[in-house]
Amino acid sequence: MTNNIYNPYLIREDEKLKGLTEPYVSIQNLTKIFGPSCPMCIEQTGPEHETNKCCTCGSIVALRKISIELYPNEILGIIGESGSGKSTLVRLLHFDMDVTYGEMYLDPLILCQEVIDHTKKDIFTLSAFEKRKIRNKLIGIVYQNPYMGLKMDISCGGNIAEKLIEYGWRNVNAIRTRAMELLNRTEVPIDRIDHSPKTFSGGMQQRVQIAKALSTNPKILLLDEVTTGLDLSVQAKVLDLIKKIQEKLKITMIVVSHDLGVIRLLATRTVVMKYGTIVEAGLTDQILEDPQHPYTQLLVNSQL
Amino acid sequence: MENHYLLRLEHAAKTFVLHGLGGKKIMGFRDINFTVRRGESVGLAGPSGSGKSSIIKSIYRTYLLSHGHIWYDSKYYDGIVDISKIPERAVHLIRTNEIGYISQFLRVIPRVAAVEIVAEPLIRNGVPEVEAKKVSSDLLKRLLLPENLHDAYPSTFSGGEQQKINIAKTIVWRPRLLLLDEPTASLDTHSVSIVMGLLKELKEGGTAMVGIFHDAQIMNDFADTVYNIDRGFYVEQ
Ligand SMILES: Nc1ncnc2c1ncn2[C@@H]1O[C@H](COP(=O)(O)OP(=O)(O)OP(=O)(O)O)[C@@H](O)[C@H]1O
Ligand SMILES: Nc1ncnc2c1ncn2[C@@H]1O[C@H](COP(=O)(O)OP(=O)(O)O)[C@@H](O)[C@H]1O
Ligand SMILES: [Mg+2]
Ligand SMILES: [Mg+2]
Ligand SMILES: [Zn+2]
Repeated sequence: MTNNIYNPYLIREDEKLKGLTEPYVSIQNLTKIFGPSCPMCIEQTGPEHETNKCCTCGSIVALRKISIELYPNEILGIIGESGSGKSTLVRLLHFDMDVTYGEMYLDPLILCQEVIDHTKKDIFTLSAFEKRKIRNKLIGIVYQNPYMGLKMDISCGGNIAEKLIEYGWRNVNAIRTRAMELLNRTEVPIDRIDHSPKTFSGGMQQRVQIAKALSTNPKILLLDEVTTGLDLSVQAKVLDLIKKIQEKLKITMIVVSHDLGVIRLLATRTVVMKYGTIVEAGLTDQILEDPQHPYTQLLVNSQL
Repeated sequence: MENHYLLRLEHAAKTFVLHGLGGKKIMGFRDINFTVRRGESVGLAGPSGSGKSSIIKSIYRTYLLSHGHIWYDSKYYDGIVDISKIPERAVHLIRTNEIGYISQFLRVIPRVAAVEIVAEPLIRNGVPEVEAKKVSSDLLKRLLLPENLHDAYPSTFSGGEQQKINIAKTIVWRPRLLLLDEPTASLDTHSVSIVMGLLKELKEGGTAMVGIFHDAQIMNDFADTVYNIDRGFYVEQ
């Protein structure tokens, strides 16, 4: 009966839908184990066991077979309790440490000239030199802890200069101009350019981190708890800044936050993590208004 | 081809499972069937708690359907998709290109000016900034939002003023399908009639709508067809 009303041959198959929505970055089975690790590590950890510690070898399974896709110009939110593996995920994507196993593929669209030949290659298997090159060209990060992202014994401008020099910039005047432009964009007073970030407020330190991350025009920006610990009016400024950057520069972002309000305002899709595992993923409004997993329901009901 | 529907709910049902309460089940709605043609306005009526908002949220995919289908004839995908089942990324693209949703409350990033919030979807779709802001400002003027508020942050606005921003930021990009959940609840009578006029213009431009309005007269004015929902069921008028 219903067949009279619509023509079933017109229905798009999932395959075709996929063809129109290729991910920029595809991460598969990403796993990070701190400790000796043993064959039981994966089996004995995760939400069902309510722990990330393997009871056979004592290793911490910080990430347990995570698969994530990132699409052009979107903000992906990551929420989950303390220790669920959020920062570990972000740091692996910045090649700060080695993965235990897992793969990462980049779409040719995101790859620029120098790294174009890495299409279809698992990025994690490349040499340290090549990973650094990809990081310099494509990826920016803002750490949860400003002391990890910034050197406190050099000036704020110096922190940005360092990143630009690593990227290949050599002209001192050009570097200074670029640093000023970035501090301007992130609303850090220019007259503080020669001061150490040690003397800055938390909100300013985060904005210097953002300026540094943006300095090399990344295509992917990783933001770990950028607004945590800042007072509300400063939070609002940072949120607004992130949103503007995303709209103007069309950067794909991963935003890690404890604050569901931040996730609601920024993220298109959201991933919920517990004990190193993704327990639920969906459109952000769905995750917050119709959560399916018991843990997500608990999280949402206790925070909203 | 002209007879083709734009939206069709087929045996759509939604049950909420609350794990914190020992897996308690709450019925949102069940066995909902209706179609919406291009340019048609469909109203959902019924007592509070009968499932109207849940139906609208399921069409927008804020709620996941438990059973059935929500067929939508997508322009972007050039064919019919089941909104309740396609990948989230596809839903996102349909939301930014085709389906708009206006709820009762405004939720925006703090510290962004009213006119910028309204202009954002236009700019995102490639309209030059100056033009997008002009169009947005004109729309806000029509909605009688005082001009000195256009460049202010809505967090300090009254409920009705915020609602005008909420309405403007969606109708400004003329979605093909517009979902309305009591959008006029916090507006005065004069503003309501302006909003209804704007909705009529959209309709003439081909926008289909599914709307919930508490006021019977407004509903009458709005809808070509009204479906009565009672305890999650569709009942004949
Ligand atoms: N270098 C390390 N050596 C050993 N264990 C580590 C190391 N880094 C992280 N871990 C462990 O891995 C798990 C995940 O840590 P991670 O920092 O990713 O958590 P998180 O989700 O970011 O938490 P938070 O919300 O508190 O920032 C934790 O149990 C942590 O103790
Ligand atoms: N997110 C939700 N979680 C659990 N129950 C919900 C949720 N949303 C709606 N419900 C329940 O579903 C039923 C229908 O609600 P709703 O669609 O809001 O009705 P209406 O809009 O017709 O007043 C009610 O029993 C309501 O409590
Ligand atoms: Mg962390
Ligand atoms: Mg309702
Ligand atoms: Zn082990």
